[in-house]
Amino acid sequence: MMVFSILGLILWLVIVPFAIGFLPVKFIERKRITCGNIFAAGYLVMLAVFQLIAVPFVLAGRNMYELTICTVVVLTLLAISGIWCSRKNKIGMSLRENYRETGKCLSAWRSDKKELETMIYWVIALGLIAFQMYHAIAYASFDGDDAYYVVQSVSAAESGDLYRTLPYTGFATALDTRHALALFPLWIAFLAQTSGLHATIMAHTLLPLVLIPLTYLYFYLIGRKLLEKESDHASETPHKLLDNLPVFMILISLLQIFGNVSLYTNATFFLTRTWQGKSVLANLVMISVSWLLLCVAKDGKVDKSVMILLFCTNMTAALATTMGVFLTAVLIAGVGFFLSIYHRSFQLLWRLGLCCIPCVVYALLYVML
Amino acid sequence: MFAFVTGVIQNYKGSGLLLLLYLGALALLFLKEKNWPKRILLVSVPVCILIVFMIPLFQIAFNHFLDPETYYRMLWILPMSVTIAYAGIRLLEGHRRMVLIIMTVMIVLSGKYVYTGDYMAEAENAYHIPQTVVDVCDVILPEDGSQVCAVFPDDLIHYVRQYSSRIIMPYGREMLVHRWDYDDPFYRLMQQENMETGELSVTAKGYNCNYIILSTEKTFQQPMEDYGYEIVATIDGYNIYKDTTVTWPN
Repeated sequence: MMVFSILGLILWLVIVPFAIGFLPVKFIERKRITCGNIFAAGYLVMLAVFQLIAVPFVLAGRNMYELTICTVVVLTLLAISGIWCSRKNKIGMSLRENYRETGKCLSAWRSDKKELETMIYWVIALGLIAFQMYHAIAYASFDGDDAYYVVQSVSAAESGDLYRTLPYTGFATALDTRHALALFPLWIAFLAQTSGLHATIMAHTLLPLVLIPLTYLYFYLIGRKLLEKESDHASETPHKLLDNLPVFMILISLLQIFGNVSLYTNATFFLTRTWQGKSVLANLVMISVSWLLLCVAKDGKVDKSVMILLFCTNMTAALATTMGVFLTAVLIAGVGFFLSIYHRSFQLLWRLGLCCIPCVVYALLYVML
Repeated sequence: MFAFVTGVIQNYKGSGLLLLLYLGALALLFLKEKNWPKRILLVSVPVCILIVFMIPLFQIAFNHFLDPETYYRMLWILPMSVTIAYAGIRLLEGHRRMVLIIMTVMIVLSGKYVYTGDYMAEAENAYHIPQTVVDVCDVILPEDGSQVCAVFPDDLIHYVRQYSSRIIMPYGREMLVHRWDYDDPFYRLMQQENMETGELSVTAKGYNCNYIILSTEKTFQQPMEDYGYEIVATIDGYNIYKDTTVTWPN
């Protein structure tokens, strides 16, 4: 039983998002494809697809078992498509070439003191992430909202109910329109049903072990974008351009660990309410939007992969919390406006606008409900 | 009008030192960052967001369409961590150790360690809920998978249905959040130190409540046994009273 659960978790939390990630990355430059990009992209697409499937099920008054079966089928098909796509586009070959450079870096660290120092910083950075993951398992944080959100997951996983039971008491009710479009608790219920684990254990103990490193992956990607320097030295290996990146990651970790200045900060939500949709919005979603906007910022071009991922990120924002689509739209609109002036490109603005279609759709749906 | 926004900032900022660190980072990047795309993301747009955040008209519109209690989430748009970390590196470019030491000291002194405080405790089980709740629920849950109705003391209410949604409760967390202004006669009865047993029994039976869980420190005007209740277990200072006359309809 435990083996089945572990295999289920590895499948839905690692293998499937990685396979799905091959789909959007096929549009990006070969030399920029990394495992990190693939995984980051895969999660955004997977969560967006879940949101797309789940909302009609909730509004139509169906049950969690039907939603789970449909999600399994769709995500499996997407994962298979991703694997097929990776073979067709020889993405594996690109990955091998790109990581050959990393292999050279590892050799350099043994002989170069400065590179050894960089490696020590990376060890500290990874150690801080591991420290947070350890505390996510070993410590329980109390939050009254769990009596709503985690109970929605438990109720969906145990009885198949989709937002038609009052979480606080268990009595039947009409559809909770305020929360009916923010279905992150149902994703937790999906994971619980497919792995055979209790939804509360999934939420409190297991999901932080995925969401914490995943969020740091997005921080890493944004750090790469910010700290990349142009180099005149053709022989300079890529990692030398990013020797500040581990320092950046250490500081980010410290800002999360010491960011609990009030109950309302991103950092507080990140480490004490990791499994709640609001935390996913405040951290994972907003950081991924910033990352994607930085991808656009340098040359003002919104390529297909960025459009797909921004579109999916906005849907993930809707999955996380109802207000999510408003916040991401504001950020994209603000940055898009300034970037379009800087690059003198109206095309940039309308392409970013297209990515905000989910924001408009879910906002209208919310008003109609 | 400004009082609402300043109130939100007051609640958000804590001691204010981390917010000052962020504003300092913004100022530094405003002066030093020449790369316009990065400047737009880390300085221009956040400054605009902060200005709009302070405008009363925007706040009124926001509160009209969305929940006023969530206004602070506008501040989540600001990439504070990224800005502070990046600004620290830009300030002392080429001196990694200095950056690390100085920024670490500043962050530790400005911030607050997340793993201390009233809201954090060592996990007692994989559910991350008090083991007492697990043990009490295990006693009352029917083995055939059916539902059961039970009323719990305040300190256990949040956790019960996180363990099992098969447990129905006459009232839940909504009674504990005073600003939501809920009232329930059953809840008021459960708050008594010396329980009006007759009243309690009638109310509980009205809900078809199978179990009443009470602290062992409660006293009773009449014995619970007189009203058809028996203690089926005592766990961690709580008595579990079973109503032998009631069946929860499935």
